[in-house]
Amino acid sequence: MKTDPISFEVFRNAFISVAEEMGATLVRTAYSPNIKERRDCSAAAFDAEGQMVSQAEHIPVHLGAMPESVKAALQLFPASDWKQGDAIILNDPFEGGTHLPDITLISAVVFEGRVAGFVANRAHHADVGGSSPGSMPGAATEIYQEGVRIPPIHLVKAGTIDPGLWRLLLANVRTPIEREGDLRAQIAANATGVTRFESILAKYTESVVSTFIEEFHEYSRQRMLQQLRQMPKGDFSFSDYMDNDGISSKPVELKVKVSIKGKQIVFDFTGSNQQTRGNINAPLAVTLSCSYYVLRCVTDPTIPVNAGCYSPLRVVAPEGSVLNPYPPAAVSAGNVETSQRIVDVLFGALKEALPDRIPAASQGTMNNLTIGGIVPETSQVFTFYETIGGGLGARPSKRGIDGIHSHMTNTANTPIEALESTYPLRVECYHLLPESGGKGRYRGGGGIRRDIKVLADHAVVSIQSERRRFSPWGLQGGLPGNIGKNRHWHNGKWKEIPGKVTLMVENGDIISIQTPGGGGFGKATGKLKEPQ
Amino acid sequence: MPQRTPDSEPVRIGIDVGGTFTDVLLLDSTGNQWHVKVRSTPKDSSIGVLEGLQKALELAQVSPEKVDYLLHGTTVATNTVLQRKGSSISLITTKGFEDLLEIGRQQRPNLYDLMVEREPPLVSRANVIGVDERILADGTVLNPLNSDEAEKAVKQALQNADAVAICLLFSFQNPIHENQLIQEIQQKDSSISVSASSRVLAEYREFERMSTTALNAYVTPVLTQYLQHLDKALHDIGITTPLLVMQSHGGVLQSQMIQNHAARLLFSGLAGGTLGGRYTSQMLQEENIITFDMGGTSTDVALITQGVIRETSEGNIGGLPCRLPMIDVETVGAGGGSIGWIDTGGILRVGPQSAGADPGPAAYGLGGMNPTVTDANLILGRLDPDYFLGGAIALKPKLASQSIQGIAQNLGLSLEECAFGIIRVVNANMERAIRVVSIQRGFDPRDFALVAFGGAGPMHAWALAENLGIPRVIIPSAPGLHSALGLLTTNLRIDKSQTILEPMESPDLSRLVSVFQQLEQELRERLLEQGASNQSMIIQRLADLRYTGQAYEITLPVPKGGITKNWLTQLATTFHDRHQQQYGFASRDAPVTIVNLRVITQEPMPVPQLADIPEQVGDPPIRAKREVYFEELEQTIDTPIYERSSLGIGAQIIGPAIIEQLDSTTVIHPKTKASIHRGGNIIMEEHQ
Repeated sequence: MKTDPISFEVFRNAFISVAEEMGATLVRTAYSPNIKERRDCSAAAFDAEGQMVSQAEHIPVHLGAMPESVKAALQLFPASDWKQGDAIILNDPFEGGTHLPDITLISAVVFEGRVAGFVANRAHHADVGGSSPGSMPGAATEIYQEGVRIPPIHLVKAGTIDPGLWRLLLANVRTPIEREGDLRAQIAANATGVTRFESILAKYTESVVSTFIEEFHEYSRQRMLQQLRQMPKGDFSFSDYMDNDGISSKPVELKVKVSIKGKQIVFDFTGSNQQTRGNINAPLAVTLSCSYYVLRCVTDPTIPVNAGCYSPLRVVAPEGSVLNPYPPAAVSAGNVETSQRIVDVLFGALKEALPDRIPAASQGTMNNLTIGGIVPETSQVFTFYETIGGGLGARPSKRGIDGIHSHMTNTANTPIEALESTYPLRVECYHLLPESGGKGRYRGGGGIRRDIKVLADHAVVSIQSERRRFSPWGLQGGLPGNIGKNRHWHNGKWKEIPGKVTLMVENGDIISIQTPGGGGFGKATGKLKEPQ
Repeated sequence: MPQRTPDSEPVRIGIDVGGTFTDVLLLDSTGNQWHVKVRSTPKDSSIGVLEGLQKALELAQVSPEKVDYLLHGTTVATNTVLQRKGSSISLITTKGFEDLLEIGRQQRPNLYDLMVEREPPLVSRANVIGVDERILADGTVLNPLNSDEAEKAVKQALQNADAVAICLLFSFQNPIHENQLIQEIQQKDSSISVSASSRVLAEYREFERMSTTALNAYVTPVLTQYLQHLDKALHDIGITTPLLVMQSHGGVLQSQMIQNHAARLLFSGLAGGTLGGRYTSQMLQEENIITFDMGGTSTDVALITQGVIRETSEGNIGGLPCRLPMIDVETVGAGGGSIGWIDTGGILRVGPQSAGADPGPAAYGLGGMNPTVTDANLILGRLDPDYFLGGAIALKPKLASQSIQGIAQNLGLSLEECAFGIIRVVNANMERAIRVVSIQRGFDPRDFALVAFGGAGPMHAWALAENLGIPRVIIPSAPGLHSALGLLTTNLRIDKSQTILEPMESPDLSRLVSVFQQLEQELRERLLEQGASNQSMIIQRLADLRYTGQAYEITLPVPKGGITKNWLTQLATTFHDRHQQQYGFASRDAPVTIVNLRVITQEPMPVPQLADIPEQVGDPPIRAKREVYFEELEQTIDTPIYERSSLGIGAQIIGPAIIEQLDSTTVIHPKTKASIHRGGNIIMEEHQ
């Protein structure tokens, strides 16, 4: 290594700082709660070839998406063409995006007249148009219904925003003021990142920095290889099912073969279901994010995240499959639901290779609930969206956690007192279902029951949820967790409703969501090991 | 040591309890200071407090009844939570919502750790009791709490609990059911401590309110016992003035008054340093400063902007949210005891593991084998082995070398290179933390001066400031006792808030008026009981505002005068302006919600006047010389050592140099100038 082991650590801090400062600026200046509160955003720095150097992410589903976005932008606009103050915007799931609400902005770092790197940030926008508020319509069968599709295109040229594109974008979304605020925050965040990146180049010179970056990739790669060497070599396969695609009732199979070799690990999803009509298709960036997430969980999560860290991993996702669909597939639930099942099949495959590390299946869904309608007193339109936690799968030496978000998401709930003060809704109960975790030597975490009474006339409820048919599996003799259940209280009685559904409800109706429990671990032998 | 004269009475004393040391500062009325440092006594911190106090009184030859103000910053509440040594408590809540504490915000604390655990709640699930009742968002009672139900719940709550917490949905809008339960409890057992959420924190967001209430119930019995015990001991040694205890927001209250509001003390120990930083910045007329308090295990960083200490109510202790106002301090896991190590990729890392105070750095000779930041400073010649903490601990350079040699060999570095590497890396960690802390709050560190204190702060301050682009570093006169000094610069203070959630466009004006009046009346009475007077009392009215639909608020002082349409317009304008400044945009046409009203009442206490140091006459005397390593020179150099107490106002020292004093060591780098200013403060700047 040319960089000494101390300067290396100083550089590492400096580049993490680039990503962290961008993330902090984005969260601070964003308009919408989705970014500010739920932190559904991330930021990263890249070298001149578009290889990721550092990343600050708040939810794992953005992990693989950032490198893919930059790759797509550089394919259209080679690095040598970028000028100071240029920024490319994109959200197209078929060109580096995940689902349409996630918008990425990439800016060039130009130093002494040459492109020395890039910075990028991504944020989940609350609405990007399409057939329903929130841009995640349950019944979509084509991406055109899900909102405005932005291929990689210049939003900012030499520091000036393209006014035509700006108007075009804002004309196609439901809440243009909010979008404008969030887009400006994304521009401000990149400006912070560019300045910081430039100051590192100015302080240490470009050649010293680029040597460090090369070695930084190699450092992460070597640490990842060290981890892989400790794993048993071989092929390990697993498959699991999504309940359905929301359009037909047919189960959708996800399949993977994990091959651990000396210097490589391959996640091969060949054999997974063809892409579906419903919106559960996961674009390649989502499949990659899930793969990166699993790799980080089963290796040392302190390995710095950069291109080198992921380079020993090869992901095979056949084109036209549900894990790498062709346009114009609908994809909005791929990000929030299919992503969870991708993690399940990867862990399922790895359970043989790493029996003392892999947990049983967690709830495997985000339980997306949207309620929209008209506030009776003010006649204003409201849309409420939330996700609900569930059971975490039991681990090899301890039980699962009750009522928590697992794997690809980690966004906060809405306080009941905020919800009832804002919407014509009333939370009837919100508690754990401790019995819903799979029994075993270690019990799976319990799901949550959340009942919401609708106090508006003719409201529309839309639910996107999974594990309503196939339960979260247990491991090593542990029993599966309970499936989730969605119910509708109407005319004095409960009626079970599907996992993916859009329905009209009356004033006084209740929607009850019971989220799945996590799978158990190990055979239950009389007494349970831990206090329940 | 200054001489005390009879007319220099009465005196005031600040006692700050830290993890390693308890610092006592005694200040007489002519501004002379006496310092005492004793080892903290974590098992019962009152032992260290009394020992330090008595030593200070002896040293200054002051009799206890001459103590006019006795101020105390304590970590008892903090440690009770961090070590989970609080009371057994029960919690009464709305039926159907018994798991709120457990569920929290549904988030896991670590994204990639498969063995992740959630911080367990302070109340075991078996001790949570749901009662059948419901209040709505507007405060109307949907489902009344019947008396049988209340009685049954209270009976259950009183079994196996030393304290009871009550938190019902929407009790901040209507506390009727919480009050009913309090009455029921007091009838059954008048001695038990009760914390009701509508009294602890009348703000919306049920989980955070419940967590704060549970924290209050959890620490109240322990803290009450501690303060009662301490009060008695103080009385026994002849102290007649009431003990004033520091709260998280930097104001004090009499110990008896605080006992039912123990959660207000959770960050008591952090306040003194920031207050001291403000005092120093005022003395030197610096408006914007970053306080940098580097101790043995951690470093506390706070921003003071335009002379005002920033406050927050987003506190978090051991993973549990506490929404009571506190000084906005960020703690970084880097200090003198932070350990250097080599990661699996062959890179030198420092921290977050720390050798703490016991065994401490290898050089302490208490059995520590790991190389720490302090060991590195010793190897580089920055610390004098015989003069560390005024000679209280004799450092052993040989042990420090041995510990660093271990990793130096593996890295292929010389002893000095490796020691300097540890310093560079710990500085890089702190630099990154200070950057994010500033940027998150909307500031650029280059617009600030750095006020560095704590035992280790003045050693690292200049290098850190240089990396951050900070032009000026200030070292207060007694860096190791700065928190104790800060305690003496405070006011008596009580505050209270109330969620109202009124739209700015058409609020119920009479409600605003009455809520402010109620809050004010209650606080005024309580402060008068503390010896405040109506003439001198300062009352501030504030409001937390936000754009409707957002979930974060900005706290603003409200306009003066009666609450009218015009008043609202002024408030709105201030809000938009502040939002623009803090978040980079304002939406002047968007609807705004008045979320909370707040009142702060303060009784000013006299500002301490420190006796100034004499003017410098002639060149500052060089006490000694020794070899010190400086990165700018890439070598060690024979460096002059100055004694801090021998430097007068106007003295100038050009680096490289070291200034030593009992409680700290200041490193002056080459091409840097240190000049001595009022109050003995050192200001370091670049020197051409």
